[in-house]
Amino acid sequence: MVPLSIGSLLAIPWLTGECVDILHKSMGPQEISHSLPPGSKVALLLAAIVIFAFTRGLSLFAIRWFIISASRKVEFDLRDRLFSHLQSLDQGFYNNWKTGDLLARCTQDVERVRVLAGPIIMYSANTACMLLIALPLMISVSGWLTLLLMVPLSLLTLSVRKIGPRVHDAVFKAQETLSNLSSLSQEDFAGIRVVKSFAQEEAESERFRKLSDEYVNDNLVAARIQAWMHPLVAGVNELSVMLLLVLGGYYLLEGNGALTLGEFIKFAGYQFQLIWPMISIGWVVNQFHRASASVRRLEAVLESKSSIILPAEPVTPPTGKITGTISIRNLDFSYNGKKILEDISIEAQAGHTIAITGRTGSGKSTLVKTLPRILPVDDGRIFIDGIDINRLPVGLLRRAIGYVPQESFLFSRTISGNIGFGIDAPREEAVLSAARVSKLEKDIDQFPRGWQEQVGERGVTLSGGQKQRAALARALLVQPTILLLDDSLSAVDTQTEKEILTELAGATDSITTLVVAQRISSILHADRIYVLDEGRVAEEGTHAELLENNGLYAETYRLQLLSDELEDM
Amino acid sequence: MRQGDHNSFHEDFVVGKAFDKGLMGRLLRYALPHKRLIVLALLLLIFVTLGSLVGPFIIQRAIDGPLSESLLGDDGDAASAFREILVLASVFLGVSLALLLLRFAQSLVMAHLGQKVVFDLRQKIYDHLLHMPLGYYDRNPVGRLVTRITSDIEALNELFASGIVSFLADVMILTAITAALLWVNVTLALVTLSALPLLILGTFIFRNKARKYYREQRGHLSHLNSFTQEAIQGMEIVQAFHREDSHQSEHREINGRYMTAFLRSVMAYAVFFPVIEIVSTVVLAAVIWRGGLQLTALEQTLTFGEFYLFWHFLGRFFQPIRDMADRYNILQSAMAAAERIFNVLDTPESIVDPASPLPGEKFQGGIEFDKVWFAYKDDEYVLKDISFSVEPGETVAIVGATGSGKTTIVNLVSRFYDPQRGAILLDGADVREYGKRDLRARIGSVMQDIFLFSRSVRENLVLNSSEITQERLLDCSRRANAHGFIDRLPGAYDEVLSERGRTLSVGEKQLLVFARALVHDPDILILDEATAYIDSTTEALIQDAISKLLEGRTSIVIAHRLSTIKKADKILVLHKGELREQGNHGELLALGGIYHRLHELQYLDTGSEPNPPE
Repeated sequence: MVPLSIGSLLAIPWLTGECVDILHKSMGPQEISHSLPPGSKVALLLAAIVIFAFTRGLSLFAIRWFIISASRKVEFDLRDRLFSHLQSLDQGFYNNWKTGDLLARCTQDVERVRVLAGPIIMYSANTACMLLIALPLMISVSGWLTLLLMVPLSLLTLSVRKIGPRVHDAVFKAQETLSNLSSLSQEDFAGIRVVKSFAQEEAESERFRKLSDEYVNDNLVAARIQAWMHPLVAGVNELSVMLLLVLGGYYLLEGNGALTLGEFIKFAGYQFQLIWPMISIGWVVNQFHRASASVRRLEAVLESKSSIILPAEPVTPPTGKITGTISIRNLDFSYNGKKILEDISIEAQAGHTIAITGRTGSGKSTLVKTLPRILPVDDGRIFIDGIDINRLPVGLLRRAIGYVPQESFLFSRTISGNIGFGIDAPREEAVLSAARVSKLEKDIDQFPRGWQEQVGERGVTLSGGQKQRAALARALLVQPTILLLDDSLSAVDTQTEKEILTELAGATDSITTLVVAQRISSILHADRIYVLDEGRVAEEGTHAELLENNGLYAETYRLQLLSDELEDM
Repeated sequence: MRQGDHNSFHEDFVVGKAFDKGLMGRLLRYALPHKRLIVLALLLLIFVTLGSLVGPFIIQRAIDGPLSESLLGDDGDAASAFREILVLASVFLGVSLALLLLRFAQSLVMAHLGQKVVFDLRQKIYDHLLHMPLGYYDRNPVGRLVTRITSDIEALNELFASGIVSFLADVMILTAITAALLWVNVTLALVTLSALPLLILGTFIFRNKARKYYREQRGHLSHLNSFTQEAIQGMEIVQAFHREDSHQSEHREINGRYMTAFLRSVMAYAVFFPVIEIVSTVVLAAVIWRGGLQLTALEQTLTFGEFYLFWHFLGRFFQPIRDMADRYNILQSAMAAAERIFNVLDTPESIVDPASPLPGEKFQGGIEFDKVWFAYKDDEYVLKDISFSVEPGETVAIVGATGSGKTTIVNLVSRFYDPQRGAILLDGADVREYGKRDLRARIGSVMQDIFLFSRSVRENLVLNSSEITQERLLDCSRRANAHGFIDRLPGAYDEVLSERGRTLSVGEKQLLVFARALVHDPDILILDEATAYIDSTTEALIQDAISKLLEGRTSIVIAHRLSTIKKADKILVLHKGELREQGNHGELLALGGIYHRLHELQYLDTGSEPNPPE
């Protein structure tokens, strides 16, 4: 298809040149009257031009359509594969990689690989065909002239190759400054209170001015390099035409009239058609370099492996269902060589409520995350219904667990979509009842679009407490046998928290609940309370026992009382 | 106003007005200071346009002159013909070189123009935003405001750098080529121009389609990207809920929509370019046919050189038409951006400085609230008839539940808001009589929601003030018990903090902002005590730092700890916006009201005196 397209394209200047020569001869001094034969010849040639025009048009269409749409399909598959792989990776991976970096790979690098699969192939084929067909045609007219014309044209290739990366670097620098500029504004706006409190408006404005000035400079540097490109292309074109003129004249001077007007037109036409392919050689090389770097960056992600290994021979409980007995035996956990948990042992009967408290950084969240295998644990440390969690089918394990994380992450979809996140096609009553237990109903009624209200940037912004309650409803909706609450009511006011806890106690009778809390008032009634300190269990017992003990727990409890009472006023 | 606009998701899809006289007029006013650059750009434009027509005419001269003379067999003149060709070629070379430089200059001037105009505008909108009252920031998400400064300004840059001038350039080059064609040969010009209406129409239809598809495609792409971003950020949830499969199919659906939209736009391009080529080649064939008749007619009305001109100009005819449609897009998005930008600039600063502010280099620190009423919106008063006074050097503690109005009281002292009724007096004068800058510079505030800049520790402490010496910095950090941990950071005071100080613990952040307040040595201190429980060692450091902070200056403390409250000279008990009790610890206990009950409860539950670390 490509040779057909290029062939037809190059046929047009050739035919035009032929026409001109026929016309030129027919008006020679010896033949004044315009005879029919040349006229019908010209008519034939013109018909051929029109036919070639259509061939060229159709083949051009076909090439574009097939190559570009094929590259889009490659892109689709690549994105799909990448996303699927990302979903299989564990939290260890996500802790080591920045979201921005991963996102750049999912967008920019995928795009560059697409360019490799589509435009790079298309332009390479185009250029190769163009040179293969045009060069013999040109050489058949004049070898010397061809050689001379190729000089400015290859200059074009070289300069694109040279200027391209420099433009890229300069633009990259400008983008970096722009991103600094936007971070500065982002920070100043987010911290506007501090800016205003310390009367820093003028000083921050000055900072902004400096960055803004740098950005202007970066842009002008880029513009200075880029500004050469267009004049250079036009210049090379004009230079080639001039060379043609001089050489044509010289040939005439030699007396053999080697170059006819038609040939002049042919040459000028070929030369004009060659400009873009010659530019695209440079472009293709640049893009190829970038695309291969992108391929490497994508491979780095695709070759990462999850440390959560799926059981080779999964063991399913006899009933096929998990009842919720948890047994943690001498659990250690290290991250990046640092011990986070040490020798933790916790027993929980099905339906019991176990509370974990302790200072920030004592390892509470880590402990919670090992249960649904969000974080990896060694074999023989955590048992659910007597089966090592590493041997349970992951789907079965995770579906049995309702997890409410510390940072209540909601997706930007409707509020009911968020609550129903955990199951396919949730029933309306189920969503409603989950929202009722989490005391979210009234809040939802007040949203402009009620249950259909979008969450996040493009809808209502939920308060911290509302987010936490939505996350709780989301976990309740999956009807878990094990509920994990990781300090997940910290932003809810005490009164509402009490109401929720009462509701929960009723609704979670048969659910094993593991609740992490800093606020002791919310764990008073747990069946057993564990106090973590620096990764170890420092104290354990019931509320009364722990107060008796008069240790860390009792001290914390007393400190928290006043602020609780203030809230209760 | 666009505040509270729930449809911003569709912003990418909305097609706005392309031209608004009022907006354009206002925009041009920002370009006016750079009129020299504009004039230069226009001059270069004229030179480049006319200059680019010179080359083809030289070729035409050569073809009709020396080239055809020698072709016609006048061999004796070949040498002189060649000389003539050389002369023409040198002129051509000269013109080309001049054009090369002129075109380069033109690109540069246009880039400068765009950058200069938007530099001023960017600064103006930034300053305006910084001076907006806090209430404005409550209503407008940060992301939206940042967009005004980045992408909206970029849209205007494009308008000035390549929109307006290039549009004129396209019009000029089209006019110039048309005029040249008509001047050379009317009949052939008419043959050529006959395709023009068709081409313009086709181009505009194509551009409209392409733009529509592009917009759809961009909308789907940004949807795909934000979906991916969210999936990455929320991967823990996806995995914990075992939703990988449903997430994968959702991703596939969006990915598919994106691909479909893209294929549609590929189709538009795949159709358009061949059509343009076919039309221009057919026109070429018509010109050869028609020209051939004229060339070979008895009375030759066309020369080969002129024929060359037509052939050449045909190739240059279509680019400007294609480009003009692009400029239309630029214009359209610039108008939308300008509207959003002017909306911001037109929002008045509601809290303004008095015409002749009272001097405020130093305050004694006497504060008086005189029957203050305040509502954030309409009639929902969060402060009702609040009156109290604080003597210079005293510490006053405010206690009350969330939403009782504690934070509002301190906001009014710094004049972040103005009360609807009543007045706040500082050293006997209304706070509205002072300059905002003087006022706030002398009031230090430490809020619970700690904000740190992603700059070095030093910069976070001294902020932008250059007068603070190294000794003073170290001294204050020591007094605030912050020096210890700062010194242990890898870069000590030059350590650059990550965004909002994420790498520091809650306690460390507290100590850091205490040091910041000390460094700036305010006359009045506002402190919102942290509620979060911090481990006992750090807690002791914090208590110690707080007592140093309060020393020797008027302080208003939103208090959560009994130890702080007991030490206060005066305690204000707020309840639902009303000041229910005020007095010192002993007086309030004797009163037997809310405070008394609170105090009782404190001891009832634990049975022992709490032991505040001191």
